[in-house]
Order: sequence, then C-alpha cells, then structure tokens
Amino acid sequence: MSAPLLRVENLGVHFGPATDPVKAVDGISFAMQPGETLAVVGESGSGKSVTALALTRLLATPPARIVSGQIEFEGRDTLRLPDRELRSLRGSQIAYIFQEPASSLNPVFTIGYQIREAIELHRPEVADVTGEIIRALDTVGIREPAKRLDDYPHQLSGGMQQRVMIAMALACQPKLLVADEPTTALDVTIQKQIMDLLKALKGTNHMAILLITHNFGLVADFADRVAVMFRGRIVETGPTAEVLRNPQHAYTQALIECVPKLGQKQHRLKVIDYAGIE
Amino acid sequence: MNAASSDTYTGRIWRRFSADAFARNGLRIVIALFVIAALAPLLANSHAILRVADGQISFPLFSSLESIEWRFLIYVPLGGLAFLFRQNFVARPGRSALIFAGIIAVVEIAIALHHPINDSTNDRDRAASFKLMPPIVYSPIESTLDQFAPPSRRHPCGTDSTGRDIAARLLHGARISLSIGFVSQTIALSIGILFGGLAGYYRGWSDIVVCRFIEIMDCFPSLLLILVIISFTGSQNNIFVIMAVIGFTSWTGVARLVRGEFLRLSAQPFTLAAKAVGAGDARIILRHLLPNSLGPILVVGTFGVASAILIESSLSFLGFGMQAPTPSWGDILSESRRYIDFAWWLAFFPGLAILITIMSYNFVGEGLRDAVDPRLRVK
Repeated sequence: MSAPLLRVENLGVHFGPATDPVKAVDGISFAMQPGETLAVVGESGSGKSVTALALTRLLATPPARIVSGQIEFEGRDTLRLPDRELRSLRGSQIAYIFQEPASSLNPVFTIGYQIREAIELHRPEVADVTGEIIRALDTVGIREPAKRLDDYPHQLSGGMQQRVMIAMALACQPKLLVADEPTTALDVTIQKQIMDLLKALKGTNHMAILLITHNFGLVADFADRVAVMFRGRIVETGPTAEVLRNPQHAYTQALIECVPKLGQKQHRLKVIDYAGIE
Repeated sequence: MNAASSDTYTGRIWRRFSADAFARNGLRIVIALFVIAALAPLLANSHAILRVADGQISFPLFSSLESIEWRFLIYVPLGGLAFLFRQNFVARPGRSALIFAGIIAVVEIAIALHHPINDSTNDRDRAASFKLMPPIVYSPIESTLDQFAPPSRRHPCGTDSTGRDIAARLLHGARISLSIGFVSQTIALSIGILFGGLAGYYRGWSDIVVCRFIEIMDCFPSLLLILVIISFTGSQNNIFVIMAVIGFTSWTGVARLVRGEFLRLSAQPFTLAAKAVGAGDARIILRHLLPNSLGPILVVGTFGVASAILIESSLSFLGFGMQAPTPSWGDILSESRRYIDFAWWLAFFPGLAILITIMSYNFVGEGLRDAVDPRLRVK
C-alpha cells in the first residue's frame, strides 16, 4: 500500500473541566488513501464533526482541548503546524463543506466574490479569475454561471447554495474534501442530486472525501470504507459492503436496524437500546 | 432610485427605510442641514455676491472667503456628487482614486494661492449701480447698533445684545454643530470598532480588559468628565479639542455593540467556512465580520451624532464649548438666559434648531434600526 494521505493517530478532544472532561473524541485512529472515500457514521454527539474540525484545528480552543494524538496530512502534523502554514493548507489541500449552506455563505457578498476569495487566497497564479469562477460554477451544475456571479446567497435555493459551497471547496483543487453532513439541511431529491454530483466530481478530480453523516442510506452507494463512531470512539471500521452486510459491533447492528426496510411491515421504528451495548 | 430596485442587501434596507415617512423626511432635513451648513457664507453675509460699481464688476463675498470656507463650499457638494455616482467609482477604483487625488490637488493649490481680502466694510449701505446680496445681509460676527431687535423682515430671527443677527449666527452655527457631531462620532466609532472588535473576536484576556475598561468609563458621568478634561487642558473654544473629547467619551456604546455583533457572527457557520477556506484573522474581521455588523453600527452612529450635537450645545450653554464670537447654537442659548424675560427669540430659534436637528437624526436612526432589523420583514 502507498503512503496514506491522512493518518489520524490516537486523537483525543475534550470539552469542559480538565478534572471531569467530556470526551467528545476519545483516542481514535484511522487512515485514508489518496482518492479514497471514507464515511464516518454515527449519531448526534458521537464526535464526528469534532473529528472533522480537528483535522485542520478549526475547533475553537477554548472550549475544546486537543489532549492527545497526531494528525498527519501528507507527512505533516497539522496539530503542530504553525498557524501560517496551516492557513495555506486549509482550503487549498483540505477543503470543507458544511451542513447548512444557507448560513455558510456570507450574506453580504455575491457568490462570485466569495469563490474569488478562495481562488485569490490559494492560487495567485491564476490570471483569469472570473473565467475560473465560471468554470467552477459550471462543474457543479449551475446553469448560466456567468449570470449567477452577481447573485447574493439569499437569491439561490438551498440546493444551489450547497452547489456554490462545493464549487468554492473545489476551486482550489484540494486533495481531501471534508463533507460534514452536506445534505442534512436539504430535502431528499436535492440530497440525491448533491450526492450524485459529489460522486461524479470524486471520479474526475481524484480527491479523497471524508463524508460525515448519520445516514446509512448515503453511505451504501457512496463510500469505499465506513467507520462507525459511538461516544467518541470508532467502534467498527471496514469496507462499506462488508460492514453493512455483516456488522460486528452491537452498536453498528443497532444502528443499521434503525433504518426502516422496504417491504417490511413495522409498527414502530426501532430505537437503539443503549443498555444492551455497553 | 436605481439602488432601490436591485435586490441587494443595501437595496432592501433602503426600500424598508424609505417606506417609513418619519425616516424619509428626517433624512431630507439632515441633508438640507448639511447643504445649509455648506452654503452658510452664501446665505448670510454682509458682502455682496455680485457688485457693479463705477463700471467695475466685483465679487466681494467670494474674495472675502477664508480657505476653510472654500473647502466647505467645494468639498461638501463634491462629496454629494461622488455619492450619487458611486457605482462608476466602485467599478474602477484605481482610476477613481487618481481623479479624486487630482481634484483635491487642484483645489488645494487654488486655495493656497487665494488670499482673502479682509474688507470689514459691508456692502449693505454702499452705493452701487447693481448689487446682488445674500438672503440675509449680515455676517454672523458682525455687531450692529440694532440691539435686541425682535424678528422682522430685516432680521428674521431678531438680534442679540450686541446687535448680531441671530439668523446669520444660526446658519453658521449649523456648521459647528454638524461637524462636531460628525467628527466626534467618527472618532467614537473608530475607537469603539477597534476595542469592541478586539474583545469580540479574540475573547479571552482582551475581552476581559476591554469590558472592564468600558465599565470604568461608564462609571463617570460623561458630561462631568468632558468638563474636567476641558478645564484641565484649558482649551475652551478649540473645536478640535471639543470634537476629540466628545469622541473619546462616547465610544463605549459602540464598543459594546461591536463586541456583541462579533461574538454573534463568530458563531455563524460562514465565519467557520471562511476559516476553513484559509482566511486569516484580518480577512475574517474586515471582510466577514465588519460588513455584516455595519447596519447596527450605522444605527448607533446616527444616534451618536444627535447626542454629540446635544453635548456640544450643553457645553456651550455651560460656557465650556465654543464661545462668542464663534456662532454656536448652545452659546446663543446660553446668552439668552439673561434676557429671556423680554427677548424670547434669543432662546426660541436656537432651541428650535437644536430640536429639529436632534429629532431628524433620531428619526433617521430609528428608521435605520427598523430597516436593518431582520425580524421586521413585512415592509
């Protein structure tokens, strides 16, 4: 196997008092190969998003404290990188898409301006920035991109806003895209469009995607591998098909059980019985 | 209005603002006050605008103007023009900066070459074959023998104890009031944004230090503080000291507001998104946090101008602000105290001027506040 793109070793992130901390991320380790898609699945509060933000030290510290571990991205430890180098890493090497596109875009600037900001920050060599912005909007499937440049975020629909966020993330051709619940705030048909778009872009750009989600439905036909998180720990990891077909950990089994199955009559949705897992 | 029809952030605020009759008319009065302030020497002057005598044409009024008055006359209308054509400037910032620099250079050279003729004779009574006089034919600091004249056609607002025309003094006093209001608020906004921004963005120690400093500042009654500073520096009648002192004592409200806005906006996903794109602190503050808090800042700034004008009037009234012969609304009011039982116009007109100005500013401020409030989306 080649050298991994990203290697996380024994990462621990705590909140609250040092004497009695809330262990949001409790010593997790995983690795990603270039071009690979890893889905981190888990319910609210399991530490998925905290892990994603910790990768480039985006967590506000305080209240968060990164207490242990190493995060190596292409051999560089992002937890110990000087701020300046870290900033040039953010966006250009590791890009993010967040849950709510509506509030992730700055309401007072046009979308063209915001994509321009990303390009100017990381790719000063680009001469025709406007052309590059139009190309970026075009690749994420926005029709008549030249006319959309001067639109404000509130003039776009939720799906289009998320496409703009993706265009912004991809504008600098990152090696790793961290998608933190990219479709949670969107309705189901738009969810499918966005996931299809990500899948198509993954193929053409050869970038790795770290997909954070609580939705097993998205995982099945999107991710190469799955890591299941529960209470700050990765309880199970493996190739997607295998984990879905033959879950080993009790929590994974319970989580998959919760997804209602087609053609099966059920009076009540399954709820996870935590007492049985401990 | 072009800006009103477009669906931008400012466009929407402008639409909601202009739907409010009080705000709209308040803004009109404020603009009118600025025009009056800029044109004051043309509106009230003892020199003729145009004078034809012995076959010679002269412009006594213009040749008597001081350089500061020329600046007022030229730069205020230019500023208005620049605002009207702002779209053209935004499109080509480099060229616009050059044009502005060129205009300023030409004006300043012309002003430097101009020597005002200090001619104390007035043109009112001087014979001439033709003369065009300003609407009010008295200068603000010119004493006449006509003391305590009640309002008449010749003196629309009467005269004071030394026979100075109150209308002329009010018109010129508008400059003092408006410029003190404006400059002191610019100072207050700058300090407030700086300190509030530091506290709200970096939190931690800077937040604690700034907040305690604000609380200490707020413990002193600001008028007393201003009086103490002015009496210690011994610089009554210096307009710049008064501007600075008002500015340095009224920034706490702005700082508090900016701190709150920055705290709120820092928690917004777009700030995180900006960080994730790799933006540094300066870029996040200047491009993301500040533009988003500009609406509320503008609102407190507007109210601040009104209160600064009021503070200046109070200072003059107490004998610490601008003093006679400099025309100031507060000073005219202050003088009226002694003669109130027979010269009502001495108190009435400056009082009215202050009332109208403060009210207009407050209407504009309230209109702006409602317009930038996202919860009032009905209009």
